[in-house]
Amino acid sequence: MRLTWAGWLFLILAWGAIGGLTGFCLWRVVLRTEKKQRRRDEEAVIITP
Amino acid sequence: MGHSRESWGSRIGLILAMAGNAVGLGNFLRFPRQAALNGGGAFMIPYFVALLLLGIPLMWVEWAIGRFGGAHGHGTTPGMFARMWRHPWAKYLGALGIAMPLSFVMYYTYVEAWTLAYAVFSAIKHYWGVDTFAEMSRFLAEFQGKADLSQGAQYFSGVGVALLFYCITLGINLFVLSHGVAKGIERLAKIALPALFLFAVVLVIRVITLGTPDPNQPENSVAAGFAYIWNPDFSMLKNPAVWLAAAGQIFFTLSIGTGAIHTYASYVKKNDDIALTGLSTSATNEFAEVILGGSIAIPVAVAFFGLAETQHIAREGSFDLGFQAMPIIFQKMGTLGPLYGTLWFALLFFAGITSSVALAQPVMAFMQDEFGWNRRKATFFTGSLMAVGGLGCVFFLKHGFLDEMDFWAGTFGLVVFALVEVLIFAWAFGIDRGWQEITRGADIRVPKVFKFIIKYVTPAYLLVMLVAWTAQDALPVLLFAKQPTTDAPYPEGDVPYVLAARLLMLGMLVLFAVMVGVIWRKRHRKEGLV
Repeated sequence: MRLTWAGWLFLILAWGAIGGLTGFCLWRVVLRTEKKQRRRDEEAVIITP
Repeated sequence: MGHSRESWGSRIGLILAMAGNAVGLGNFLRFPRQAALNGGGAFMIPYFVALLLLGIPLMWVEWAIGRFGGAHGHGTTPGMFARMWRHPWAKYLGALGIAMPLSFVMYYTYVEAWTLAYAVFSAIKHYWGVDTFAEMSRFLAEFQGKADLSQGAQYFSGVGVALLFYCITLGINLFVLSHGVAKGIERLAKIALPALFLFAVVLVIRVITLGTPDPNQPENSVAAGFAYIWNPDFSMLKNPAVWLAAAGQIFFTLSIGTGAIHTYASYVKKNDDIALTGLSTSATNEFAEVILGGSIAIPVAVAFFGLAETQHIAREGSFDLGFQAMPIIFQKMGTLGPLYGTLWFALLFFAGITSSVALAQPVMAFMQDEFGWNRRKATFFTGSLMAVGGLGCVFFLKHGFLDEMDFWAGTFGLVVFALVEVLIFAWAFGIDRGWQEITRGADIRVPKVFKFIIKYVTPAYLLVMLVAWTAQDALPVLLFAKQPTTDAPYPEGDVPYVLAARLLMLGMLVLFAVMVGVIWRKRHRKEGLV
């Protein structure tokens, strides 16, 4: 038994969709967390006259 | 509820803990078997449909209910439902969200103990030499106390070893729970989840590079194993059972309908994102299931046993694949066999323990939030209840005690509870308010089509599932016409044990419903409402 072209197609589509979604989500989480952290750091700066 | 509630230490910790809750034994044992038996690649069509219409919407609903409840000081569904639906029944329906995960974790901890035991057995080569299916089946049956020992024991003289590993597993679970959300559960997830993924990747690489282990049998190869899982059989899509199996798999894999997600989400701050975080945990779970879980057990079984034998093993059940076929395979993997065996079972143990602490947490949260108990007292109470059901499973496994609990608490009950919660969320609470809950503080734009899906499609989908399962399984099982795992009727001698399991689960439901009644009456009296 060998992987048919349809088998390959399903494998690549499923792996691509799930891998892509996981990568996208985790990248967004890291990005947003960093952004929030940066904002918090900037807000913490006290400018004295 | 004057005390301050616990919260997660970090967002990544929350994602890992939630993903740990979702990633369980089913990702590595149940999914590949389901895919192989239900149309291969074609199974992914109903699987993704169920993910989009059932899994992801329900996951967001549970996160939203949980965060909403947490903002009002409730970590469990009685308080959450009561806040969302001003009806006297709401809080009692919420008792399902404590009794069910508790019943679930009672037997799940015992299964988890098997994985720990087999990890140790692999490391010390305890089952080396037990290399046929018949012998390995006997080994497992004796370990579990299911074997007939009238002719004498070959490997274990009773359930003593299994009991020992159960006590160790229960102890580890309670140790983690006793340290709270950030220092217990989150810390465990930060160690167990990366370790689990690392072990899985090592095993996947090893499996993929196996090629054809026996050159004399070129048809037995890893490639043939992947073909078995992925070559689509479109004719299977005409079978409604395949669609039901896919929906069931999505349910189990995302740990929907257990009440655990609500409790974890209740520790999220009121305006923190749940849309992206929830989606991230689901995606991580799918990665573990489809990419990693689908690339280990079935492909390696085909490579060593051939297609026909693997089809037979797959039909026999997930545990036959995990606890009988895999130990034989590790013995054939040369000097590193013990290492791969240890990694495989340790991986399953980590998958199990991150789920079991999540299932036990609703009881902890209920006692802490509603009764104001401290963590130590709540841990003792939770542990005592877990032990009652767990010991029932240890001693009465051969009489169907565990299978009965798995069917009602771990299968059928999930769909019932999911239907209840989605109706409360979308219809009683109102979809507009519900949608605001889901999207408040969201770090991604949630497609508006999900508002429609949550209100109409998901409840309808669940209703169809519930009706089909009731007719197909629940009624015959309830009336003792068939067993949960086979179509054969219950053996006469098993009925008292099965009844005991049912009474135990019912007892838990009544216990928590009564406790809900007591605490709400007390609170109303305090507030001068009664």
